[in-house]
Amino acid sequence: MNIYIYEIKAQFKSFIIWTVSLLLTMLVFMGGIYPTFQKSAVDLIKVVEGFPKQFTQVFGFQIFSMFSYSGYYSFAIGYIGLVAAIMAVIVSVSIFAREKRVKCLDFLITKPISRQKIFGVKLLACLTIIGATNVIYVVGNMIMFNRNNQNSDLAGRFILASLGIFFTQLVFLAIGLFLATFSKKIRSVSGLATAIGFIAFILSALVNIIDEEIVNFIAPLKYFDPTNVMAKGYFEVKYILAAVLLIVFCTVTSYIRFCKNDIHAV
Amino acid sequence: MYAIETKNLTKSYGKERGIVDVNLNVNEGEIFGFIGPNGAGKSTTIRTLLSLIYKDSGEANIFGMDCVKDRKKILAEVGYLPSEVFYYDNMKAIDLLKYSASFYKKDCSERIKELSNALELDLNKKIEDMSLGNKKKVGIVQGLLHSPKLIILDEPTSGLDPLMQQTFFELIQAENKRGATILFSSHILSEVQKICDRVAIIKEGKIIQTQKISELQQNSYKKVSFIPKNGTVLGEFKMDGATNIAVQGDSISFVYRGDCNLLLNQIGSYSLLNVDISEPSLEEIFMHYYKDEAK
Repeated sequence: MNIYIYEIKAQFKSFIIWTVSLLLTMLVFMGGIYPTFQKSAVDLIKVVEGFPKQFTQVFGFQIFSMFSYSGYYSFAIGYIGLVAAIMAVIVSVSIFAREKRVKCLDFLITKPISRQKIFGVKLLACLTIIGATNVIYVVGNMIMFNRNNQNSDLAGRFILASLGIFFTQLVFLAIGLFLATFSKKIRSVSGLATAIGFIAFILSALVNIIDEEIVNFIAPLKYFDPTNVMAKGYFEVKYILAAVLLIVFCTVTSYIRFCKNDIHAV
Repeated sequence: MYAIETKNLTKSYGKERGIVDVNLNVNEGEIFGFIGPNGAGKSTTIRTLLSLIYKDSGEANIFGMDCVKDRKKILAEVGYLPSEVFYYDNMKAIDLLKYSASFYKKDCSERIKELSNALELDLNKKIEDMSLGNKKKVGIVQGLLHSPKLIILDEPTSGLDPLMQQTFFELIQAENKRGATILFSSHILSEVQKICDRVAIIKEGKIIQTQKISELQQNSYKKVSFIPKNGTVLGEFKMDGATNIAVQGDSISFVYRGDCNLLLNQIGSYSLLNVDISEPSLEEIFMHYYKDEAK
């Protein structure tokens, strides 16, 4: 419990900053840009039709579906998801590489607590932070949904679509965990997280251009695309499976590494 | 039951040597020195005992318990001070020590006060703003705050000024009087000599000798130097039992282990200007062990 409390305290400031950033990103898109976007529909269609096709694909423009709230949310999620992914990597790398970064692994590992428990408690701290962020996010998202006078019959689906952020964060949490335990040195947590976020964004853009279903598997930011939820009421099972596989692989290998790895003198 | 017992403990780092068949028996309540130069295997042995690294083969037990299987129980009774101390950023010494104490099921607040007073440590200072010596003091307090039964010190005095070193030795001796066993690893032989009861010498991953400190110094080792009268040609001085032979100008010196009558006969065969036979320092005995085997 002491490690848990310590980690939560240590991450609290970062939690506030990133949760606010996530909310702000959502507010900017759904509360700021969307109403203007909707009002200027005719002009926008003309402008977007003038763009090269590849350009609209890279940035996820599907202009005709974007005038509905859910359609626009599907577009915005590419950017909100990016912020969420960066946050998740920051959380897991900060927590799991904390001792490695300041070279004080000896301090923690020579305490009377098993490595398995340390891993479990740190993971619990990560999940607590991500969980709390998502409670706030989903509530904020629903407030915005209601403010835009959306059909309340779709509220359930929209909650599930909002939870896509949580699932996306779980995937990136696991990726961060893997990097934290397998990297020999981590100089900058934010630098690493931004790089991972950028790569994920590029992969999503690539998937948009290629438009082959099989390629979707390489883009974790697309696993919990809200389009399917809003249309059918559920996330696509094949991508859920891909996410679960990725999470299990990263978590199990990281656990083994964390518990069995030799800790050399610094 | 030994406080520490290893049997053929072996650890390698891929193709790199770590330790080979290390056999150590440290009695409960003793201060046991562990000496060897950098890279000899002292830290590898210690880190294996603490399960920071995992052995390849052999056995490592502390208080009769297996270092890996019973790690948690063992670590509740062990205090460890590494050679270099690093702690979390943005933490005051007191916060770090309270965090450290929270891992043990006992109230350590009084002990923290006592130790920090003895070491003149400012508990309200941020660790990152501290000098190396003060960081080391934090390390000492966090290693001793739970009154451990076994204290493992890996090159503990680096960064401490001579006065603080003395205070540190007094603290360690007080812990020993309380009943704690001490494993004191160092390459500074004089400090081992100062407080240890027995010593193990490790060389290239292998324990080459375990002896009482007093035996190590007295076990017929003599430091010999003499100056023959002018005109005496020393040539290549050789004698059974003589090592570290050095000729400097007219003077010759060496470390001798063997029958002192033979020594006196050999020296007596020269016409002497001066002769000096004394107890060698531990350093000189140590050099005897470390003498290049290729020679």
